[in-house]
Amino acid sequence: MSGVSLLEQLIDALRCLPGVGNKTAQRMAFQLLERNRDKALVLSDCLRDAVANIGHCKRCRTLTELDVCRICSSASRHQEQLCVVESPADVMAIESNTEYRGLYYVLMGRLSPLDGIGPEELGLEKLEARLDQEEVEEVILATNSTVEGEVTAHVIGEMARKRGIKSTRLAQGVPVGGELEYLDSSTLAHALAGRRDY
Amino acid sequence: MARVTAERAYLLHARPYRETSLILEILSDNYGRVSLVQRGVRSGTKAGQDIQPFSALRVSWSGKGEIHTLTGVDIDKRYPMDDNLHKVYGLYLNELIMKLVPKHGLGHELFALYESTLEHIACSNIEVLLRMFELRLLQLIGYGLDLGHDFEDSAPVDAQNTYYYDHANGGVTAVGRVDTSCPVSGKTLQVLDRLDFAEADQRSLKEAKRLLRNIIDSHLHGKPLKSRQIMQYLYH
Ligand SMILES: [Zn+2]
Repeated sequence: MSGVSLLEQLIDALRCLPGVGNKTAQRMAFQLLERNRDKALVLSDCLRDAVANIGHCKRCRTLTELDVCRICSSASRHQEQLCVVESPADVMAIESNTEYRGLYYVLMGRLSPLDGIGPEELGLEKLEARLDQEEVEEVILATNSTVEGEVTAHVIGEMARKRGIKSTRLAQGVPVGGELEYLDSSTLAHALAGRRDY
Repeated sequence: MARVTAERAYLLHARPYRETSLILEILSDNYGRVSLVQRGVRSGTKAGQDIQPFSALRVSWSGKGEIHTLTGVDIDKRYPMDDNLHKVYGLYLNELIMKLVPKHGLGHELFALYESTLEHIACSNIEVLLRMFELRLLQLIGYGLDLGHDFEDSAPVDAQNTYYYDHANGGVTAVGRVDTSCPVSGKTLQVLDRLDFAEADQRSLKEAKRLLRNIIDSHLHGKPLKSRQIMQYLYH
């Protein structure tokens, strides 16, 4: 590290954060060092602890410092509903925005052949084992509505169907506050196809 | 290729690049497979990119070298595929092209083959459609498959005989000195040679599938096809 100052090292390290370029990293570094040294220490402790202690929940694979995460070990969650999502961020989004009270399974990705991710890489056999061992009555397919997300939903839907378990897919439709005129054609088509009694 | 405007194309694959960009791998009508950088798409707040595979696109780009810069994209026709199983087949086509076709190689013929295959996914015998695609793709790439003659004596393939495919010669022979793991009937070879599956029975379809898988695998040098693993997973 000869020649590179500590300040430069810090700025460079901050650039690993999403959306942070050189300018922003500089601003962050100066903010922490000039005005917020206490909080900088808290941040560095948190980072160290998080990286050392956070792993994956044994049951649903979301990020947690526990063996089994709080949702999985909660007695009040509906054990017969399993919502399959691509990432821990999706769990957070559903938890903070919906009334869902069932359990989760986090794929940590999606089937994507050209990224080298097939059924094995995605660890689908772990999910199969869970469907075999637990009393799941409904699998909620909450993968993204990209081609890869749809393919992943299809494969997991088949997995459930083979076991006689019902599977459901998140509805796709008009976003709240959305004007029909500005919707893209496939969203509008999905919304019309999925219309409900009113 | 300094500037290309409103070129017909399909997206084969998109992957994140740097902070806010994507690298798009497209199959274009006149320029074959091209890599483009799409800048400023992953803002973090807006979920996902807005173009997806299997939609007919009009793409503009500029620049020199290996990777060009996307300057515009319009969706001509969105998603002919509603059935998610069809998307699995579509991803298989994309993976074959990405792994077998070199960049900038093959222009309009491959594009036409790809587009017509996509358009028929929903309404054809999918096994026949995939075999036709595999066979035509191998021919277009120039593997010079001759499945109509015995390479040893140049005699036309006899429907009553059993043949063996030989990778080194890129052809078949009835002389059983080659790898016997993939025997194939003369009848099946005639189907493949004539690209006419109208008379093909279940056995021929199975043989054709295995033979083409063998040939494709030999050209992939051990690289697995993940989309094929997905299909196998669905049918196990
Ligand atoms: Zn858990």
